[in-house]
Amino acid sequence: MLMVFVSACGNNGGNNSSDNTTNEGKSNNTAASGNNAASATDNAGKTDEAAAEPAVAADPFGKYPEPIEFTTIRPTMNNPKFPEGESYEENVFNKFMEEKLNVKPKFVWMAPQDGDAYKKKLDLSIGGNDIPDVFQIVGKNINEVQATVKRLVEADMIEDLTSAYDQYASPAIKEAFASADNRGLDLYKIDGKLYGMPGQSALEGMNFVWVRDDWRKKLNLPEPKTLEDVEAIAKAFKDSDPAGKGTTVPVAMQMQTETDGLFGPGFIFDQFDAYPRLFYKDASGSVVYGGIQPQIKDALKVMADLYKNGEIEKDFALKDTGQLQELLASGRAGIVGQAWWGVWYPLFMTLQNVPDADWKPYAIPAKNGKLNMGATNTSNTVLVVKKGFKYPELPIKWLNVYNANHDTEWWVKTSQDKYKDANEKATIWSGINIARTDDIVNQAKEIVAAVNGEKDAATLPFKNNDAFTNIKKFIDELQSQPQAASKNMLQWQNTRSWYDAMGSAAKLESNVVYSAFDGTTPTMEKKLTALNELQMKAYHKIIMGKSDADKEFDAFVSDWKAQGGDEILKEVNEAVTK
Amino acid sequence: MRRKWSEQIHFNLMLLPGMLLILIFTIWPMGGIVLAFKHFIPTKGIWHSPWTGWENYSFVFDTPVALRVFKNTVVIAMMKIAFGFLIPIVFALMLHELRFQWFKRVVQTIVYLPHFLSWVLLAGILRDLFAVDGIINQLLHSMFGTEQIMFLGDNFWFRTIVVGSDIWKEFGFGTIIYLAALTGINPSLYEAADIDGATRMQKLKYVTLPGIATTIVLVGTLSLQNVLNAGFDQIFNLYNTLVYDSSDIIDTYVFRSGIEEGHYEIGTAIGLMKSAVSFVLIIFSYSLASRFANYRIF
Repeated sequence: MLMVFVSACGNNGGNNSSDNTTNEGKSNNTAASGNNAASATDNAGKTDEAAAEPAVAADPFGKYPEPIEFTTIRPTMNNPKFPEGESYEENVFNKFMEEKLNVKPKFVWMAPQDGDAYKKKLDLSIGGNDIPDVFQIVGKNINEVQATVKRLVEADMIEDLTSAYDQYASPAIKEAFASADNRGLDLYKIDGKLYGMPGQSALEGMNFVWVRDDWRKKLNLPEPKTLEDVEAIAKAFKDSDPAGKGTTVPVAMQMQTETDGLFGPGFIFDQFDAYPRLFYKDASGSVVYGGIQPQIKDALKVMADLYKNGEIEKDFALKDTGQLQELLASGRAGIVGQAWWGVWYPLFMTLQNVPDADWKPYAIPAKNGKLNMGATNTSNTVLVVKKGFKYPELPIKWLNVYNANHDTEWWVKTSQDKYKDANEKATIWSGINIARTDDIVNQAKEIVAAVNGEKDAATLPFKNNDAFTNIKKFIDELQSQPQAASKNMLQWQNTRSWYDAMGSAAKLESNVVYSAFDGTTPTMEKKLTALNELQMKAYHKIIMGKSDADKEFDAFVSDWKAQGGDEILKEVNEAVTK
Repeated sequence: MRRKWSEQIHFNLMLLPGMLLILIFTIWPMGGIVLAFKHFIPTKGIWHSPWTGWENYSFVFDTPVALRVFKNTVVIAMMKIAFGFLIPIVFALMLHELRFQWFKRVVQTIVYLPHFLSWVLLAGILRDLFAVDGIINQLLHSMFGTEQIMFLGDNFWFRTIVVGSDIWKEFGFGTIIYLAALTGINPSLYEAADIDGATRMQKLKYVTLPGIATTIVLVGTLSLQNVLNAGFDQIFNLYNTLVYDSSDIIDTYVFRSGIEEGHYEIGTAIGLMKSAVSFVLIIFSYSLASRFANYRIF
């Protein structure tokens, strides 16, 4: 892409603004994902190459006729390194934005994102009624960010962006928010007015059932389509003991302190529409706690059966993530629940020890035919505009351009080449990712179509080219060879994660249950640790068959409520309805 | 007779490094104790964080688990104190009766070595030993045909293992002080007892035990301060949700609900409370010791 430098050497004295935020490509952890695999995942919007010519009055990508300089602030990396002659103020990205929109950010101050420094400084600015034209609000969780926005609105310090959004948000961005029923926007609406532009990341926390496919084929079992099939495979693994000497662990599972951790039983809970650690709204609109819902009991009974048959390790409750990882690496495990990126960590370790092994993910729909998943909120940051700023649509335009271009070849290559040695690839980019919630699933859909020859591979976005090439090679040439997986690790990993996991999820309708509250109430701070332990203890007892499931569960529910649960629910409902 | 300051200046200089260490690392940080009554906000620092009074204590004691946690702490600590007090004495007396000096020395060395292993390491070993498919279970199965026992997931066994392994690790180290005291007994006393025709048991009763009585009292007195220390690092490395009922102690609970959530002031508050309790107990036991065993430090 050719860069044109617009020398904007005029400050028109008008107050100008733009927005600027860091692109911390962090996907919000959905309920069932641990850390992100250092690969493959990326938030992305649509790739609209062409920025339209400014013609209509409200053109989302329209360039301002006069150069506009605006004040802003930004969270920074702890130890940013820039290529020669660049800085946060002067760099390729800012020039690019200037060329696209004729706007130039002026940083009033910057502070490190880590350790709350940015947030503290911003709080001081707000307290001193000294805010820049456009700025980003961050917080530990969504509720903190919402509280700050509310404070600003009550003090009449920020601009209502409702009409600016309607007029100027690009179709891609509107679509992205619509993909989650505008949930992201609703978080920052007060009295029906929109006060900020939130970020949104794609959902990727659905639980897949990973099966040792080499064992499954050896035993001539069909591919699992329902939970019953998975149970049947577990039973077959138990009976035929493919690992030998009685060392097979048919279902590897970790549930020491978390129900939704890595290698946890999330895939079983999902089957019953049960979300053990989520506060979500039920049909009546009030917030309930997932952990005490009756359907949890059904999920626990399934696990109790597996335990009774010796298909779950006898001492599963004592094992932590590290021990599970050892177990998986040793090649004794047959089935494990994990996110779509399971092959990148730790399942590839099995192949290093057992060259013939092959893990394959299956998306198992629940009884309702959908893929259930619990998810925390998809937005953790928001961009707001100072009251009285002349161009309230400017940040919206900025995000339009940012999200339309951040997957282009030029952008990706610049990150990879020019900033290769910078300690953080994202050093200079500033913007908020607004992605469709089904973005990753859609990318997978496209890749699968391209691999199957239903679509021209040239139309794939640049960032997916590697995945496509690897998958194509694996599907067309490699997969029939002996030890295909362990000899072609990279191709196999791409295939299993993109093609098999997300590809099969794309074929199913998802049912996403969003968390209604991600913050901490006063009672939570005091009692949640103890309540979570109570919950874990009851679940363990039920799974291990130490007591009657129904009685134990009912006792747990009443204990949970009595020991602070009711208070917490009351506080949560108050916080949500406020 | 008192010496002049100038004559003993070199002795005072010798004291100086120790005094400095204590000043810098013990006395000076005590200022941080105020944190026990504050709500700690890292960006404001200790001095500027707001005061909260007794809030931090109610955080720990207003929970349904408080009683359980307190009970476990005292029970485990008392078991450790009782056995950890008696076993080294008995063992030292038995070693003392040995005739072969080289054998005595070998045994002594072997039993005090575990003291130098960390609980992180030992917990790993214990977990493997007592695992469902571990050596202990295999042995029991081959000898008695028992079912697999989940030692570390069972309240009764877990506590037994905690106390047992702690004793095993520390008793050798505890015997050293008694062996030192035993070598300090004047051999002529034994010779005199022999001439008077004392049996072995009588020698033990009338010479050996009185010889180490003061040491026993001292160690006993000092060990009482541990009534609220049930051994955080040991339990933290061994325990799991299944045995919280029997082994969740104050320290582990504070760690989970306070420190892990970033509430350092909770840790400070509980630390202060434990120190206060220990202080009271030491004063108490020392007064008992001085009254009944005629033992005095000052």
